[in-house]
Amino acid sequence: MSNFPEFRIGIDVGGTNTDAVVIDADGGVVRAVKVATTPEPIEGIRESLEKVLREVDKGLVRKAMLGTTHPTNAIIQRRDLDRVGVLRLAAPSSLGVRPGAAWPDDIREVVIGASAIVQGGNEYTGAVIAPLDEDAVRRFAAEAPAHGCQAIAVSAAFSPATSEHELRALEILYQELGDGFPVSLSHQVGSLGLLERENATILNAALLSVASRVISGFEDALAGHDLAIDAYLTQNDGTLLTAVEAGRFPVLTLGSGPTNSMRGACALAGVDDAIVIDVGGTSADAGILVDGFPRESTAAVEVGGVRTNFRMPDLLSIGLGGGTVVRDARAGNGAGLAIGPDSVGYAVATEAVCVGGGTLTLSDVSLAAGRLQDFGDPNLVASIDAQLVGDALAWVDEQVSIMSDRMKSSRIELPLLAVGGGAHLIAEQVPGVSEVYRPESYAVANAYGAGIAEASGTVDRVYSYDVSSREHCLDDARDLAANAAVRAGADPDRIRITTITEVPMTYVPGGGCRVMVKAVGPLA
Amino acid sequence: MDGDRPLRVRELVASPALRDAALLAGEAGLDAVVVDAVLCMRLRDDGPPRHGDVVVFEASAIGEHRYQIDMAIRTIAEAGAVGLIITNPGFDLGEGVQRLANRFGVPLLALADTDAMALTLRLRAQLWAADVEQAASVASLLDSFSQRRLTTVESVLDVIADLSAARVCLIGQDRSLVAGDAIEIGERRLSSGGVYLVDHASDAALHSTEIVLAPGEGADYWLVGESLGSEGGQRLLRSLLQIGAWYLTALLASVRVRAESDARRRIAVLNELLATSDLHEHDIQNQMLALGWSPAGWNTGLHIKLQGADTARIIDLHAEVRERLREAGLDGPLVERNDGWSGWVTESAEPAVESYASIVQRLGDVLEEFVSVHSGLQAHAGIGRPYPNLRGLRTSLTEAHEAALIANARSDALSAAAHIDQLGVQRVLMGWFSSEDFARYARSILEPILDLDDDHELLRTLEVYLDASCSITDTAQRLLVHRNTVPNRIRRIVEVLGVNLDDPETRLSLQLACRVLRINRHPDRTMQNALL
Amino acid sequence: MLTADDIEALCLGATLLGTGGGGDPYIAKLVAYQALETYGPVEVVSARDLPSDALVLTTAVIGAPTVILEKIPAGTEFVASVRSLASYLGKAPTAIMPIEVGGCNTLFPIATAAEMGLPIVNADSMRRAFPQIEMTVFTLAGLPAGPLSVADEKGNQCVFETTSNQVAETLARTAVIQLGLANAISCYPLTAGQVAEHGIQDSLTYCTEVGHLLQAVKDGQVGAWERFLGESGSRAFFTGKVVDLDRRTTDGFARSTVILEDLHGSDSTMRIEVQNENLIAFYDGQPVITTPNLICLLDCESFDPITTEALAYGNRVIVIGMPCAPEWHQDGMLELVGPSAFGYDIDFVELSV
Repeated sequence: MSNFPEFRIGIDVGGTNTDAVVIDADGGVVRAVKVATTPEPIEGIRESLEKVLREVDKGLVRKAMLGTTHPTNAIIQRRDLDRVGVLRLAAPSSLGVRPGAAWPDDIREVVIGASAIVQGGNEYTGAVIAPLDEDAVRRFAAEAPAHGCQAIAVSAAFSPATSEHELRALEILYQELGDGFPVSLSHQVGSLGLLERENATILNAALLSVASRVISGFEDALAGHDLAIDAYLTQNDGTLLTAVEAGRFPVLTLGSGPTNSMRGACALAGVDDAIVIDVGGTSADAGILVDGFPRESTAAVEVGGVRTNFRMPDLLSIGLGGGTVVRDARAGNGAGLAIGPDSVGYAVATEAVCVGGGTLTLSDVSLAAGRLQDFGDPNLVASIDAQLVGDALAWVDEQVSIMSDRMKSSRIELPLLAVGGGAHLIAEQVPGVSEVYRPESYAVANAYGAGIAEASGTVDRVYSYDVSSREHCLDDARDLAANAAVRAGADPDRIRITTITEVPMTYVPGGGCRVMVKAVGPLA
Repeated sequence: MDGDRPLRVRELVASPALRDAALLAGEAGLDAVVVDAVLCMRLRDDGPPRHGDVVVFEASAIGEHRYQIDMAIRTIAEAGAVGLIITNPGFDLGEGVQRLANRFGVPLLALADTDAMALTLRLRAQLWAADVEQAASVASLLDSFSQRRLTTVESVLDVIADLSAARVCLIGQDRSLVAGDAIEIGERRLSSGGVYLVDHASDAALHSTEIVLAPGEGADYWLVGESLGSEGGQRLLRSLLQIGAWYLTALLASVRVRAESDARRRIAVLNELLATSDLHEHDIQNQMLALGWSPAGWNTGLHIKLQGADTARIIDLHAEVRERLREAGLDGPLVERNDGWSGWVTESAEPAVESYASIVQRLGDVLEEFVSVHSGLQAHAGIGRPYPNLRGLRTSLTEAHEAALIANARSDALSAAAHIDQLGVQRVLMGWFSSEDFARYARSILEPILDLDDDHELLRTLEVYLDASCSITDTAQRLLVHRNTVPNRIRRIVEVLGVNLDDPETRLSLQLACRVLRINRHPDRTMQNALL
Repeated sequence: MLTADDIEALCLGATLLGTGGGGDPYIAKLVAYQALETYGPVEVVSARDLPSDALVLTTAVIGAPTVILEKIPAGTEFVASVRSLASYLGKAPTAIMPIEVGGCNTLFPIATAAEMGLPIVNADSMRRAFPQIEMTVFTLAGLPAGPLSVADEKGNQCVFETTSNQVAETLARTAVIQLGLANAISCYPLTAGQVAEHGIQDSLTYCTEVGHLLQAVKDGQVGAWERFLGESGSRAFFTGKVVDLDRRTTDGFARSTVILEDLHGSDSTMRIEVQNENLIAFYDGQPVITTPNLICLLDCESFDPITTEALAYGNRVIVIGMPCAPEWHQDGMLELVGPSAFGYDIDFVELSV
């Protein structure tokens, strides 16, 4: 930790609001602002930056971190995406499944302009499947722009272990299309699993233009305040990409919103391990932080219907929010209470009974029971049947209890962070939870989470424990991950290994093992 | 004793052998009693454990088969075994195993770098420490027995008391002390029906075991121990008493056999003396001399009729009675009979008639004291006139027997003594009483109240009332009933019998009839036979 | 006829019958889709309806699932394995047959049949997944696995004559390691008559049916769960949450142990021993489901079958025991595929439904 004062800026572009926060070297919030997200998000970024830097000594600002939903929205809305040429280096293997085979038709038609499977790629041993068919690569370079391709995604079998063919293909593509032509290489984007990595690489290539606009806008905005400082974007594991890297690997920023939210909330509450439940108007999202990072989902992650092998935060959503509609069906057929899943959403501020509206919502129930305060008129909910209030809250408590239990990875009691506009629904006591926190500065948790993000490096490769000892292999992987973290800007003296995953290669005698290591450290 | 049993799992876990072991789960089962420790190398080959076993499971060889630990816990729980010690697991036992152990309440311990065999032996040694010590004491007792050093009851009791550090005694059928420490028995429960019994009614546990000399009969004695010691001490006392009881049974039986043999010789001579009309005086005198008896002089015969005991008891009590008589100055031969004892005292000169009262008094005192220490016994004695020499002895003994019968018949007390000389008229009556004809007549007179009266309450009231010269007060006192009860019962008797008690003739007839029935209620035909 | 529309249910059934292993059928599904799209539908035939001397050849992927994720099959290697064996035998195959209906090998032969224009036989030799090629009902019938062929996507092929099915397993694996751990194998060349007599009949139909039954459960249809259990003869043994997951590799086997705690609040536990596939389930330390009966884990909410690799701490799963194909119940079953065949010192337990 430096001894002289030093600030960093965290900005988070969400669906509704764009938040910005200035954080001091000790993690204290110096200043926080919230503005509406604009149709062209860069406007909102500029405005929030403008506001947050008022009354702050700009000379002390050293770094700026941005978390944004731009790329995610682009994919979900199939908007502003580049057309991509897909080149797979794996023939004669892999011919059984064409690139984009399992994509939804709409996005495939928008994104995939051309595809080819050419000879190349490697075996798990590192031997080539076939020598790279350089002529075929050249032919593809010639055809792709004709199909409207603005970028090319290159994937080779086992490239996370042996990347030579992808790198050679890049050389050829640059020769044919010029050095500046946008090309994404799979080994830089994803981990093992050719189809999923190829998908991620295609999405990455398709996002290059979107990313470059966001990043140049961000850098321009910083420059507009005479801030000649390092700019970073957050990725979905809660760590940082430099603006340059983010421009090349925008796909890695997908899903950073929930991560920043959870990490920010926990940091503000001062805990490293916690369950976070974000109760909004319509749904409640639960996640868990372990050692300050979100636990990653083991299930295949689909982005806009496309299967990728990203390690996304493990989130659980249920239809429980402040606007969730409560129906008293007992009078009719005796079927009891019907709660949700439909919701009036953020219209709770006008539709709920307690503000004079006509729809009974969980917010009304919460107010009647005294959990919700400073909202609506208690007199308007005084006539709600006490039995109904009790039953509805019992249902809520049970759902919250199930969610927190499902997120936990052991029997150990963890604190629970209740955040979001509907957090009042969460009771003070939840089974299996040590304590319920309601962080006060939560309004800017996303931006705060972006501001405190650290640099990381990962490695994912196959080792043979028969060739060298297991310990030797793991040491090698740790070194590679740490080096990658340093390259990403981490302080070499403060790097820690956060995860080591070994997946034995089954059906193979000989100790083949896939090793995934991640190293994390604060920015130098 | 540190190794006191029963040892609980908790104590075993705390012992030095398991100091380095980690208790992982199953704390609910820590209070179970450990019977043994067994080693298990392969679950299925070693067979199921037994109730109370702690199983030492050597896990270094199970390799990947960690499920075997789950199965072991299950097997242990089903067998009623009480703990599982995993040695050298070389892996984390995992949450599943711990849950299972908790579920079944099987204490689960893990211990690394351990020789499972050595650990098992060490645990067993610990479990058996108390038993080893106990076994040494038992062996010592058996050793003493086998070397025949213990020839008296007292010495046997001393050894048991010494080894067990407890108070030990032998008591008789009537709960009186026979030998050993004076343990307060009071009303505490004693063993019966061949069952070893420990009475915990007071602080000191009272152990008792029966000694039965004639199989199939009741207890002749009880061997009793009283101990304040630990559970281990109690267990030791029990073993020693049980073994001691066998030995004492043999010892007492052999004493009895000797006594019976002596008694048979005595009674054979006495029978010859009494039964032979044409006395071969010379032969009998020789036989008597062989027993140390001499009829030369004036012989006063006496007969003690004992009720409430069989012949075996009579033989057992022989020495005591003889001793009591000797102390009372009635020193002379005493012979066991089926109904008691016959004996005589011999004097060189004819005793004065005035001395008769003294001998009656002394014999009466002896018997009163005797029955007072032997509950359940009644003793009535008769004394004959002194006659000279052998023939005289026979006459005196016959008179004594007759007097004893009369004393028994006429007395309500537990003990009494009567001299034939005092009995004049009663001897005449005795002749009547003994006749079957009169007995039938008496029964017919009293039949109506006998039919009504199963426990002879009315008969007894009538008899006492007439004996008390029709005094209601005396009758009530002797019967221990309220004085209003007596006239009620008499009125009923008068009604049932249809008699007038104001008539002296009637009273006499009824009184005689009662007396005859009393004698016939306690007929002593065996004695008659013995006298023939 | 089998068309692209049937693949989804077949794939779901195959994942279930994979009993935790068998290789993720996702890639196989994509390969089958593409082949059916490219070459048209495949005719499904019963072995009894073929001439009894007609040659039936099998094909399957052999290698490491992790490698197959990276080295996607081309499709040609399966065709090559069949052709090379046919050429060695000097006789053309009349139909293709899956050797293992359960896991990814359910679907690859369909792609092969489509590409070769041959019908697929509605039968197999396991009707579940097993890790070794000798673990078939054909081995019980004394039918040899050899001669067998192994082929890769580049045109490398080799044919083995073997003296026993165990040797066949060893040789095939050795070849596969040299050929890149993602290859096609064709083994158990049989006549249709032999398949009709000794094979497990209608296994593709069975797989599709359990797929449909499970899909109905996933769709939340009323009574679907009872129908699924009833018609497959299965029983739900436990509903629990993963509280302990121990993965380790020894002797080239991926062994795991999964410990579940009862979701309904009792303190009972279930322990599942895994070697590639789920092999033994213990309820409170007592074996209740044992191989060759199937132990399948379903997600509590989605009812998706869960593979061992995808299993994670906190997963809520239903453990069901499914009876193995009745054809397994004959002499030699326990020695070949019972608990002891996998090194477990446990007796086979009949599935109590």
